[in-house]
Amino acid sequence: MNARESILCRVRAACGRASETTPNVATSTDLSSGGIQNRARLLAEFPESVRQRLSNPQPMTQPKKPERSTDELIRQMEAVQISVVRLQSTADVVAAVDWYLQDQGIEGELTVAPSLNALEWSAQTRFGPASGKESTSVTTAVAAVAETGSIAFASDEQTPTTLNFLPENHIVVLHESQIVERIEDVWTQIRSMPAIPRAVNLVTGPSRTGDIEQTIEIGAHGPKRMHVMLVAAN
Amino acid sequence: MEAKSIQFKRNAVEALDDPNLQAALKFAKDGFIGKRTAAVAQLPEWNSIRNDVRVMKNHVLDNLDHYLLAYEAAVLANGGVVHWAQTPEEATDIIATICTDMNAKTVAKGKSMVGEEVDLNAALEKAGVVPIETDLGEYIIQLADEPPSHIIAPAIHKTKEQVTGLFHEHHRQYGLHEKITDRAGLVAEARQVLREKFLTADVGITGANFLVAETGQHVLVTNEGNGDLSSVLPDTHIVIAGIEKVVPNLDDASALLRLLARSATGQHFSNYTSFISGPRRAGDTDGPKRFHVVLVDNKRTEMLGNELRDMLRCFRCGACLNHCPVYGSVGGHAYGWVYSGPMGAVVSPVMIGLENAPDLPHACTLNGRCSEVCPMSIPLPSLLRRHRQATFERQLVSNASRYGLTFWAALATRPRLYQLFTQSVIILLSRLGRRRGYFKRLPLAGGWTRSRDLPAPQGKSTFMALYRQRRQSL
Repeated sequence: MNARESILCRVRAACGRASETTPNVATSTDLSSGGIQNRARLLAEFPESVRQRLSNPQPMTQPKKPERSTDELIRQMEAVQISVVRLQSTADVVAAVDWYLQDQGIEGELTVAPSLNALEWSAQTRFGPASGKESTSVTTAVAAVAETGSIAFASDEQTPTTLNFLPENHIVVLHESQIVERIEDVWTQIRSMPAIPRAVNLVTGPSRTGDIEQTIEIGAHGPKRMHVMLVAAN
Repeated sequence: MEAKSIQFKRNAVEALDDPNLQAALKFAKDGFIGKRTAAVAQLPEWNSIRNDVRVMKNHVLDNLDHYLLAYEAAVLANGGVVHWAQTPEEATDIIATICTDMNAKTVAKGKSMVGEEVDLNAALEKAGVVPIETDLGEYIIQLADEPPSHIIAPAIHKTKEQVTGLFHEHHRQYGLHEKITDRAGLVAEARQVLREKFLTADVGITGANFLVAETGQHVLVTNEGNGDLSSVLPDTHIVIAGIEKVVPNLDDASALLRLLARSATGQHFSNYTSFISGPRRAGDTDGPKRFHVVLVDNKRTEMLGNELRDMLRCFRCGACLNHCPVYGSVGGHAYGWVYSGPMGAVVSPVMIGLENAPDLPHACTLNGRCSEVCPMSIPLPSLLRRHRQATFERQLVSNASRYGLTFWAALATRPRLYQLFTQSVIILLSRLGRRRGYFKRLPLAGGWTRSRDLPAPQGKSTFMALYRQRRQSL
């Protein structure tokens, strides 16, 4: 018996279901080639309660919805050291980035997410994943959560993950229409995508550590500054 | 690592005498407890969520095989590979083989308690691969060549001065010659040295806080971002996780995250909470090219089938450690193995054998604070009591405690004798201690008086004597 089968046998024995066997749909070659259909065939072997829970989330207690999501989001973001500036339109983004970099005295290269390449950046602006040499990234997100002040990023060609982690300064262009109330609302959006992105990062402030004497220091491995440009809905 | 839990008593005495450790523990105690209390108070739905999550997790444990298979199927559909390991050796063999097949020289590691449990670093080194811990706390203890002393704050026992010394000693090779004495400077130094390691590592290894059966994602929670850098930069990403980490769907994971961040660090949400699945997709310009998951049993199926099943709900937040008076006095290393505090006293005897850790279940005052604060409602004191029973049945307790317990049982089951005995001891002690009000030393109580004074009895009566007096005067 291989390790997989031994573990599954022991689980079933511990659950008082020793007589059951592993559904033989779940072989690796089967699934990597067949994907979704085989998954459906596998699920068909499971008890109703498990099938239910895998396809339809069961109602769990959630925190109360905030009254005004935008205000709550800004309050939560500022509580975790994310600075926020409000813009009238995306046309203002490039100028606002320049102003922010000057105001904070930030020098060095800029890498911008390909999702923003329609804006009028200067000629030498670099687009793509982070190289590790830039000081600052400008990216877009899929949502922002009022409950926690988190910004949700989903990886793809247009929004590479490394831009959220490697640069010292991370600027996020966020649209007011992207604000959701709770974490679960992000999943509604992710589930509606054609495929699950490789990475969904919920980022709630600049990188920090409390590992030396339990005292928080900002800027452990990820960005030291996080700045949100919140573009008005119209 | 070699388990040293058998010497718990000696370890504890050394810990109580270590001024650096006592200073570090004092820092920790104040911070964690207050922050957690405040964060929990701000979520009125706390108890209701806690209840829902307990029910959900019990349902998962009842159907663990199904959820593991569903998770496996989803990982495969995302283009990843799933490995199963029954023992620590199987787990480390699988990982070492993946690394050597890739000709890996260095590995960037995110913090993983299962990784510590199976002693992954030693196995990698043996295979000629250099593991680099990237969580600042783990990095500090890797330099010091010590095991973690807390599940979420591995270097909690180190003072700033000790970190200064460690960097001074180990960073000379990177051109550091002066002593960095401020916290910000130390963090910046670690950032600079580890950044290079992230960018050049061949493989990234991380743990997982949860495995989501619905999507095949694993959830990675950090505040530093080191887990994300370990998972996104190297060409190969390996996840190591215990089989109990699986949850049905994304909403279930969200409920757990609300409890985890508040319980662990008192945050509403941890800085980086990432849901990651498989290698880079077609068109992606970053992310690993190969993705593996290693699911580890290591006695978890044994716990699933016995009275310790509730322990499998544990998601390693550390709240029980922070609220334990024993942990607060002796720190994590005294427990002699990877896990410490109340959760460690339950888990370690299973994983390394009760005979190698017979004192751990006794390192508890049964005050119950751990189970009160446990977000997963684990009845830790009851589980410890089961271990205690087993140590007694298997004759793993010292003769002194055996005879002591027999003597106490004989006394306690004879109320008159018991009252007579306690009354006379009280009179004797209050007379002897009249002058000072406390005892610095007492025969048969050396274990107590060695590290603290015993207060002398404040009156000459027992509760029963007072009770009788009151009843008579009514």
